[in-house]
Amino acid sequence: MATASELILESQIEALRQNAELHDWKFEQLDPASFTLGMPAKDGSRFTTLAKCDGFAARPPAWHWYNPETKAVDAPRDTPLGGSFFHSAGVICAPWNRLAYKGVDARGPHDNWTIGNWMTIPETGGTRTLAAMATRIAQELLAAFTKRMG
Amino acid sequence: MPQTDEITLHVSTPAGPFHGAFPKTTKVSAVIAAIVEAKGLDAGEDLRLMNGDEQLAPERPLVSFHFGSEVTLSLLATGSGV
Repeated sequence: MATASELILESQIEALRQNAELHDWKFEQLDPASFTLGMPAKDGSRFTTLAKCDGFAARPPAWHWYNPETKAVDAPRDTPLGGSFFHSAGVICAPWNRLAYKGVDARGPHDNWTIGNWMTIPETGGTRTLAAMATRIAQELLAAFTKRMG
Repeated sequence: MPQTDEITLHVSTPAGPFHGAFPKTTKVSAVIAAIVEAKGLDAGEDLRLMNGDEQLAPERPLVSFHFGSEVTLSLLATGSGV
């Protein structure tokens, strides 16, 4: 029998999948707690995220960058930069990204956030669902993206 | 079939897609309020209606954006840039 957390995650992934269909983003579910999502950037190229949602929503997903052809994860060539959102360290800098926490990932810019409080950190704002996070990433790819990391 | 004085919106939201028709004179702020209610979102959140990377100004009516009879938009939940 599925746990409450598993049902919440399943529901949120389904909402995101439907949003992806609406915008013609390329969604692929890899297992019950992870998926890839390809979205366009403002230069006409595409980026693909690999979201690992184990432990959601007690802790936020890990939003990696992904190459669907080589299966490489967080390769500089597949990592967007731009503004503080697409941080020069190569991670999305937001409390709703597990990789932004230095205690989780050495690249994480923040050691002043507590991961268990991610939903109430002021910078999270209303970005508390997987669908909201994906929309924010898509919007920043169209607005803040400036170049690839490598 | 939408009326000619209506526009059908397909909107990705933090709670999944919203589909609905509105009079073209509807202000963006009223559209956001309707979506918030329909999708059970938190009315206290700062939500922005986006067409790609363009924010639709809340005080403007839909007709002022010169969309066709249908358009696909995003409801963006903001958080500060960090």
